[in-house]
Order: sequence, then C-alpha cells, then structure tokens
Amino acid sequence: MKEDVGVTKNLRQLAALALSAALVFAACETTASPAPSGAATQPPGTGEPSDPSVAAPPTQIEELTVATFDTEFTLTALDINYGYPGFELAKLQYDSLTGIDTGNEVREQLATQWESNDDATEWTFTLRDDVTWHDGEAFTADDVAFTVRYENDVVRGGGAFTVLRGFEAEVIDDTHVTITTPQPEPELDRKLMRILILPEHIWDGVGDVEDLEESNRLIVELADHTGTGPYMMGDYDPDRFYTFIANDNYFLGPPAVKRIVVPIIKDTTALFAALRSGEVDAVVPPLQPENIADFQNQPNIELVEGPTFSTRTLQINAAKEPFDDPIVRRAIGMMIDPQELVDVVKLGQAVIGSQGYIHPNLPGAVQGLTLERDSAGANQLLEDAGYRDTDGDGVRETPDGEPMAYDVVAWAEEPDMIRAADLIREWGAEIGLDLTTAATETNAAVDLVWPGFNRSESGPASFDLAVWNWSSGVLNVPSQALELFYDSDVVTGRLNVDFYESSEMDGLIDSLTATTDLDERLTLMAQIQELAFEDLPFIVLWYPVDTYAYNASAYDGWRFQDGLGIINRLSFLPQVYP
Amino acid sequence: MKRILARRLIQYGLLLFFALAINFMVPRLAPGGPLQTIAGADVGLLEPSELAQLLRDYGLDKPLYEQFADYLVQTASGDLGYSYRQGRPVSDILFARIPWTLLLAGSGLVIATIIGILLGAYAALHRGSRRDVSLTGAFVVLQSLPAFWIGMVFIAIFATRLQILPTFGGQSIVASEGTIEQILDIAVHLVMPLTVLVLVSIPHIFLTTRYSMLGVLQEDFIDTAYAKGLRRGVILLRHALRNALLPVLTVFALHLGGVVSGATVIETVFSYPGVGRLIYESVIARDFPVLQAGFFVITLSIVAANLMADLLYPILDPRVRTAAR
Repeated sequence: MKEDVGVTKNLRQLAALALSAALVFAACETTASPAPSGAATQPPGTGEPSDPSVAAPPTQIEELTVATFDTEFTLTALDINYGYPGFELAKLQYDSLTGIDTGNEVREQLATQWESNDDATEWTFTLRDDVTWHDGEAFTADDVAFTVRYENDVVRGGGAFTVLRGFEAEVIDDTHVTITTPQPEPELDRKLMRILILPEHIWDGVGDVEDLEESNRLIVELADHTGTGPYMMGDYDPDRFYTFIANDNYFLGPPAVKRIVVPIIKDTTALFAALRSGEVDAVVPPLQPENIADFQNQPNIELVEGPTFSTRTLQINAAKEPFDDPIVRRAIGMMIDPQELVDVVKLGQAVIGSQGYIHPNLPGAVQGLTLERDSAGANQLLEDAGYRDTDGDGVRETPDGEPMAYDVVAWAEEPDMIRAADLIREWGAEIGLDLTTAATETNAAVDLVWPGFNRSESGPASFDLAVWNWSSGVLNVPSQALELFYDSDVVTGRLNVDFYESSEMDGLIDSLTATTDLDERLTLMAQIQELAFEDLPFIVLWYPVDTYAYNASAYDGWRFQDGLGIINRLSFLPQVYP
Repeated sequence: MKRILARRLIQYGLLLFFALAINFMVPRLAPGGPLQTIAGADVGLLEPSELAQLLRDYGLDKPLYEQFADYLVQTASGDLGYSYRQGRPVSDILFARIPWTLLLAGSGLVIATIIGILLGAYAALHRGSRRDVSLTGAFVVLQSLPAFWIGMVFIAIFATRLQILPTFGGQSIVASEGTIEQILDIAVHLVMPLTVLVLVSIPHIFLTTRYSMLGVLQEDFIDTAYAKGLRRGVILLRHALRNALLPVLTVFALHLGGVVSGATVIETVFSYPGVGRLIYESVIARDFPVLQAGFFVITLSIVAANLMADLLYPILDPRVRTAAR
C-alpha cells in the first residue's frame, strides 16, 4: 500500500538518521574519552588528557561510624580547619579541579585536562560537563571563576586564599576556564587540589562586607554544604557529630558507604575504647606507638601503617649567638643520634629525618642526607672553633666568655617532643652544652618561636632551641617547602622562623621560583637540599609513621594515602584511581 | 534582713565589676593569642598586611583599655559576642552546654551531698569502730584517686568489656523517638560520668560532715539534751546534725557555685557536652569571647551561691542573726 511504502520509507530514513546519530555520538565520545593519566614525571604546565581510571562502582554498605576527636565547625568549604581530618571530611562534600591518588600523584577531578603557557602564569582547564551540584544545578566554569574571585575579594584568609591570592580567572565557555597567576606557578595543578570549588548560585554576595569579622560571621551563619562531592551533609551538631549521606549521582560513581556517621569523642583513650567495644568502626587519630601491640591482638581489628609528611624538627635560633655560627649548628647536629630518637621516642614508628627537609618518599627528595652521631667529632669541632670549657665546670663558654647554657622549648601537650628534648639535653651534656628542657603550653611555645606568625613585625624571637612540628601541609608542594630556608623577604620566607641567612641559599630558591623547566627544577631542589644538609639551618628529627586501626568486619575498603592516613575520600571511592 | 540584703547586693555588685576586669585581663596575660584560632592552620602563610587586617577587624589592635570598654558595654547589653573558634554567637554555644553541665554537675553535687552527709554522720556516731575506720579510709583513698583514672577504669569495665553502657556522649547520635525513650537514652549516657563525679565529690562532704559532727557531739548542749531525756534520734537529727551541717553548707555553697564550670576532666573522658570542657578548649585556643563569657557565668553563679549561703546562714543559725544586730 502507498501508505505502507511511505511509512516504510520514513522508517528507513529514521533508521538511517538514528544510525548516523549513533555514529556521531560514538565518535564524539571517543574524542572526549580521555586517555589514561600520564606518569609522575610529566612536565609542569601540562595535564595530559586522562581518564579517571574509574572501575565498576562498588557494592554499597549501609553505614559506617568513624570517630574523630574534635569539632570541625560547620564543615562547609569555607568553615573548616585545613588540617587533618577536617579538610578530608570537607572533601567528601566538595571537589577540586585536580585530585591526588594514594601515592600523591596529581590526577584529574573536575578538570580532565590542563595546560599552561611557557612561564606557567596562565593555565587553561578543561572541565567535565556531566557534573551537578547536590541541589541539581549544573557545575560550570562560572563556578571555578567565582571561587577564585570569592576567595580573593570576600574570604581574604584561610588555606584556599593563601593559594589563590592574586589569581584571576576568565571563563571561556561552560567547560573551559583560564586562571592567570601573578607569578610563575609551575606546580599549580598540585596546589589546586587544595581548592574546593564553590557553587556561585549559593555563595554569591554572602559575607561580601569590608570587615573580616563580620564577613566570617555571615559565612558561618549560612552554613551551606552544597557541593559536587560523593557525599552530602546530613544531620550534624558541631559539638557532637556529623553525618554524611552518599551522593549516588556522583560523576565518578556512587561511594562505597551509604551513610557515614562521625561522632566526636574528645578523649583519645575513650575514643579507642569505643573502637574496641565496637561502638565505632574506625577512628581518625593514629595509634600511639605504645598501644600498637595491644591492638594487634584485638579480634576484628586490622592495622595499617604508612608515612606522614608532618615533621618533628629542632629549630635553632640563628638570629642569636652562637647559633648564627654554622660550626655550632653542625656540632649540635653531630651530637644527635637520629636512630635512637626513632627507637626510643617513637618506638620505631618514624623515619629518620632528611636534612634536606623533603620526605624521602616525595618527588624531588635527595636520599641520604641524614645525620650520624659523632660526639667526639662535635667536641673537637667546638674546641677548634674556640668554644672551650675555660673554668672546668663541664660547660663550654663562647669566645666572648658566655656559658653555653640554653633552653630547649617543647610543647607540653606532646609527650614525644618532651622526650626528644630530654634526650637532646643528655647529648648536649656530652659535648659541653648545658641544656634545659622547657616544656611549655603549646600556644605559648608557638608564640616563643614564631611570635605573631609574622617575621616582619616581631623580628627575631628570643628562644634558643625548640623541638617543633611542621604540619604535613608544608610538604603539599615539596618545592615550596624549601622556602623554610629563605631569608631575603619576610613574605616568601615567612616559615624561616630561625632567621637563617644565606645569600647562596636565597639565590638557589629565587632560581627555583623563576624556572618552569622540570629538569632544572629538580636540579635546583637537589642543590638546595644539599646546601641545607651542609648548613643545618635546623635539624629534621623524624617523620612520623602512623598506624591506623579499624574494624575490618564493618568495612575493609580503607586506602592509605601517603601523608594522610586512611580517613580520605578515596577510602570510600575504591573505583577511583584504583 | 532588707538592710543585709541591700548591703550584700552592693558588695557583690562591686565584686562583679572586679571579676569582669579580671575575666578580661587574665586571658590576655597568657602568652600567645587568638590569631591561629581566627585564621586557621594556614595562619603562617598569611602576609603581614593580611594578619594586620585580621587584628584590626577583630578589634585586637586597639589599646587594652578600649577593648575593655567595648567589653563592658557589650556585656551590659547582654551581648556575649562571637566565638573566634566557631564563628557562632557565644550565647548559643554556652547556653547549649549549660543544661548538660547542670544535669551532670548539679545532680552529682546533690547526690554526693546527701550520701556524704549520711555517711559522715554515721561514721561520726560510730567513731573508732571498724565501720568508721573503713569508711574514712576508703574515702581518703578515693579522694586521692584522679577522676580521669576512675573514669577510664569505668569505661574499660562497663563499656569495653561488659558493653552495657555507652563510652561517650550525652545522648545517642540517632535521636530516640518519644520523650520517655529520649529521657532513658540521656539517663543511660549519664550513669558513668555521674557515678564517677559522685565518687570524687563524696569524700570532701563526708570528711567535713564527720569532723563537724564529732565536734558538735562533744558540746555541752548535747549532754543537756540527753539529760533532759530527749530521744536519741531527735538529739542526733535536730540538735547534733543541724549544728554540724553549718560548715557543710559552706562547702555545699562553694561547690554549688562551681557547678556551672562543670567537671572538665570528666566531661573530657566521657565526651560529655558540658561547659568545663568548652572553657578548657577556649583557653587553649585563646578564644577570648568564650572565655570571658564562661568566666562571667561562673562568677555570677559563685556570687549567687555565696549570696544564698549568706542569706541562709542567719536562718539556720540564730547566733549569726543576733550578731548581725
């Protein structure tokens, strides 16, 4: 029949059209489908197209209880403690342009691809087009640009701001944005993994006042948790608990746990007791070394250990005589037995410190820059340099006749610091130094070493020696950590609390900041570390190795992220970066 | 009576003013400051101009006398300010915690006082007996044991080993349905911290009551009462214990004033959401607004408790009433 012929013809045309469309879509998908992610040594400024290496989504378990030890406030992207575990809990709700895998390699996240210009001052990111905010709004490049603007114009403080300071962002289209930086940023992709992208439609105008205190109040008051992340905030009480509900529409697949409850248990002993009794399935803080053996015998409890990137150091006030003399610093370095510190203070749960500062597991670290105990050599060194015990009381005097008697400040709330200070005191006696352990309340101790966190205003501090802690955040970008040794300006060298001075060191760091060539950067990083080993601005005592305990029968999908531990988003996204 | 009350109120008013001044100064005398609390863990990465801006906007760059004047004006208007640490109104934070503290510390004080008085009187009446020696010895030992240690032993036995009581919190995270269930949930969470608090509080009340009772039992009027043929029970309760309780009232009033400050150690061990732990955390963080408000509330409660004791004493002891005249 004529109609049938017409219908048949239409159907054929429709089929041809559908087939063409299918071919076109297939072609597009092939083009857009990123290739597997590049290796760790990709040159700076180029993020190769990559697929997120997403395997099949896991089978979800209903609920998990993970206890923490302190409040994380309202836990929005703008009201968090940037330390551990606050930032990791915030990252359950939000995403960044880039992420890191368990080996701390930079990977794609909201951005699938990125590249920079030659001097790494302009970066262009290609964004995913399949991401929505928890309220259903589409994520676009506008949100990225807004985040950069908002941190600079409204927030003006906090961890994200210190990264984005002075940056500008330009939207090219919904899936492309260019970020311009005031100085070369060859490792911007690594830095951006700390920036949680904010929804413009929620935060635009919030807290946009001149007064910072009022601005912070308005931001805290809104307490909105809309993100793009694998979890949404459920009920919470900042004094008692948080709950996270799985976002089953997450663009990298649903997370492995439907609901995570995070109660706050202030006392560490009670916290671990709750793990033993089964009231909680995992805990945030690592075990103290002396408790590890006990937990190894607990049924259902599994342990996992790995490196952290926080550092225990012995800061030496180079602004004060005689510590401005590299010979004295070398003698102090030679009196220390790093292995004994690890064995006695940390019961083996630490890695001996590298005097180049960068953790041996991190890219760019020079191996072998460790101290060896040589008290006889230290004594000889001091003797030859004129630091002698002229009155026979067992304590040396400086060439000016001042007795070499000093305080070693240690944080009173950290037993391992006090034990370390006590050992240092004993070693000091062997080389004629009269050292006294000064256990001091943490806030007061910090103020002694780093008054006002402001080198320019406060000038050199008054301490002599101090057992100190640099958090793992300092090593987020290993090359930037070397600014611990910088002196020429108080902004770049803000972490140089010892006022260590070396024009050679400053020159190397200036060159490192200016170059974007990867090979040249690695060479300069090595030279800086070797010079630090020679000059000993401060002593790196150890990097802790942390051991975490969890109830394996409740959940066994934990993934240890170097420098962080098991409480990280990847533990709940086993299909991501497998 | 009205004159006594008026005089007391003026005295306490002056006392409050000096307390406010001390509340303001003491946190600021400690080394360090609230910068890290305000700016967060990355405070060291802020530039000097940014740190200066923070201090300016939080009013921390003003001279101390100006900050004190602002504090007085704010307090007089009932504005307790905002927490540096949490960014929320101090009144919200503090008043959310006070009921828990009153529940724990208030109940603990009442129970400890009742038990302490009864056992103290009992021990005094049986002075020198095995019962007296055992009770006194036990409470002296108990008084020397640290509260956190007792708490941890309780957790180890009842929470970890027997698993019959919860380890932490004032209530379950998942709220119970229904009022009765909620009350039971709160009660179950209260058992261990309350028991520990009572155990560490009884000794002081017991010993005070015992020694006071021993002193009163030696008085002539007790012999007179016996000589008059009064029943033993009447003598002990109406004559002996009533007089022996006067020093105990002083101790009770002192403790009552301290109830609002909570039991910091016990609140920490059991993660009980009270005021004591809040103040401890605020000291560490140099959270001046919370510290000032917390100390002020404690001052008010101590002053109120002392005022109450001052007013009750003449009622209980006619000799004080007569002396005042």
